[in-house]
Amino acid sequence: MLNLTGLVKRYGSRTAVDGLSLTVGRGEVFGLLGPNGAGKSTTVHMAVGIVEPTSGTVDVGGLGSPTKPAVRARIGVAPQTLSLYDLLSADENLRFFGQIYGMPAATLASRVDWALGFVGLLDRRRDRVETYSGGMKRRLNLAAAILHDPDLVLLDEPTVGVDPQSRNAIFDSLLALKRDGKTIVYTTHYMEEAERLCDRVAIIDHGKLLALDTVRGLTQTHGGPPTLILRTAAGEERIETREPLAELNRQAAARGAAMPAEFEVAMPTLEQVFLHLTGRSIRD
Amino acid sequence: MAAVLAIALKDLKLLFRVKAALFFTMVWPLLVAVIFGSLFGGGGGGSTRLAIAITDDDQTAASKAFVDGLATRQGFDVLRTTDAEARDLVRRGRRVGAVRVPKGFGAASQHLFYGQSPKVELRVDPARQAESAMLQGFLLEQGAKRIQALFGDPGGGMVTGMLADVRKAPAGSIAGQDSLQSMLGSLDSFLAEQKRSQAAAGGGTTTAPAPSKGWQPLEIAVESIERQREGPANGYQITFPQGMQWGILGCMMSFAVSLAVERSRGTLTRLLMSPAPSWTLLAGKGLACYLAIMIVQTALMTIGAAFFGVRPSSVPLLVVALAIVPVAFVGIMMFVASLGTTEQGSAGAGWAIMMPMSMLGGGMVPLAVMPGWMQSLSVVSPVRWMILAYEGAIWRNFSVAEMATPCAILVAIGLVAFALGARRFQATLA
Repeated sequence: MLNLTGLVKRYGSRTAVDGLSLTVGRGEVFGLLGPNGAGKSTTVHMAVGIVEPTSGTVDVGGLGSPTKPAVRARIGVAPQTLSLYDLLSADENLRFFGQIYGMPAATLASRVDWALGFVGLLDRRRDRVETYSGGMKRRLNLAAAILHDPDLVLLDEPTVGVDPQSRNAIFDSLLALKRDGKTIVYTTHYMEEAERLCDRVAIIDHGKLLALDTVRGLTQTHGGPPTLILRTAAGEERIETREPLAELNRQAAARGAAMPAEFEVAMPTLEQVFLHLTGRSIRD
Repeated sequence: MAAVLAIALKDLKLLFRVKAALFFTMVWPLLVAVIFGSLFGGGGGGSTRLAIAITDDDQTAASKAFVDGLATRQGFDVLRTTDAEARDLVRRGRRVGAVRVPKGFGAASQHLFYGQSPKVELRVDPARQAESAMLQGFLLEQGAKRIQALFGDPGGGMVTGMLADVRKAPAGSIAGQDSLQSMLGSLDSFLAEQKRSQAAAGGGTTTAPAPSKGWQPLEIAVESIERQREGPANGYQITFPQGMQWGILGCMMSFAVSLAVERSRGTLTRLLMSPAPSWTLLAGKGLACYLAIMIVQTALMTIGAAFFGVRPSSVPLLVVALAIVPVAFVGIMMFVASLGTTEQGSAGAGWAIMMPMSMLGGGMVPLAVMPGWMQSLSVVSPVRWMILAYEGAIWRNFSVAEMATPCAILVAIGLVAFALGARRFQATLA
């Protein structure tokens, strides 16, 4: 559905994206992870055609470059910055964006109803956006992205600054989109979101692709071995092992009656993978 | 085209939902126009004196006395001139009326109750009915003073002379000749008595009896001269175009800043990600700005015409001006919008450009009262051409050819500024 080939974007001497290539399959939920300034947003902007790559190509659904209006019409975007008009109501915002996407009047009204219902804002549709909470605005931002029934939905950190309830509602909406066969590209800082939603995850930093796989594949490849944690009266004992069960048996045999009754196996997480690949230094 | 209309309608909706923007585009310009209009003598002319021109073609003692009487009268501003110039002054609205004292006035003034009445001719603008009626009243009053003078100077011999005339006249040549002869005889005796009494009392004045009812001491021939208006009829005709300028600048700045707001709020990104090409965004903004300026202009002109006497001398030319002026300011809006990527940047750049343009162009001080060098410099300001276009249709009596100059300049400014602005804006997107 989305093919990025050798994408490079330079701003003067700074390289924001450096030879990025990846393919997102149709119906896939694809996570794009990276620290601040890694090049995620620039990649998204090139994927939708508003930033021209210095080199490389973008192809959407086999239709070509997203600079073509017909290709753009197949893409929905929820930008990281809430891209809404505060002085308009939810209804007015969606109607306006629908008109910009060239939706015929006959279908626009029903799609607005559907989108507002999809994100749970039907009862507040006539209220101005300025009266909405952060979570409601995020949900409306998502509604504006999917209003025109796109095949490819790009979500740039869609859960920033929202409470757990709204975040959960957004997750449910995204899972519903996935069930409908939409292709979703999802950029986030929250590893648990990527673990929960994404079929595959790409980790990028300094504009380069560091790893690309399923969450399980990434943790297996880059997360290190599982950790067997034994809880004793003196505290915790952590043993890294590729075979936690065999190691547990070995410990039981060796310790006999002194074997702690409490133990746990901690599997490697995506966050560990992320930190392993991108380092622990703070990014601005 | 649907996207352009959608953007325009959205922007108009946003403009009219911001109370501050609404105040500065609608209410503030109206306040400026009304307050300054009333300060400049909105009611029409600061002087309460009745300005007239007088031509004395008779040049007799009686005509000179008549003219002098008017000239020294309180409340009159009298200019003695030729008949042709007097007519021209009325035609151009410089004088309320022109009075001509024709030959024969002095001779006619030698008679009372018989013969020809003394005549004067009055030329007035038929639109100035109140002033015309007032002027006729003053002229009659001045004519009546002749009678007053008669009774105030019993020894003048005028009645004796008239009595001799009537006695010499062939029988039947004067209507009521016998009665008139009898009355003049009695009047002559009465005045002789008065004179003797005054001499006995050592001089002094007596109050003359009022002339009998129904008698006209002066015949006034009124001629209408259609006024060709050259100056504003009132101060509001100057201040409403200036007020409209503030409304237009308010609209222009609101839309220029709105592009920066779209950028900072992220809506610009969403619009650019849509299938609509980026020119539709600029076209939509331009259309919204054009419509907003049209609404502001039309509303202010309607209020001005309905309540403040700002009536156009040519409605078609006013429509042309109202249609052309926004073209220039939409272009300037686009140029200003391209100068800053933040709201503060755009607003700062906009006012930095437009305030001097307004000062130079007659937006603050009327062009007519500017020093010569400043008037010459004002040709660089679009505000000058805007005000000239408005005034041309309101009170300058522009012909189509005269109106073409400011309109062509405004269109040129609009097109060049829009092209430059659009180009700069596209460059910032890249």
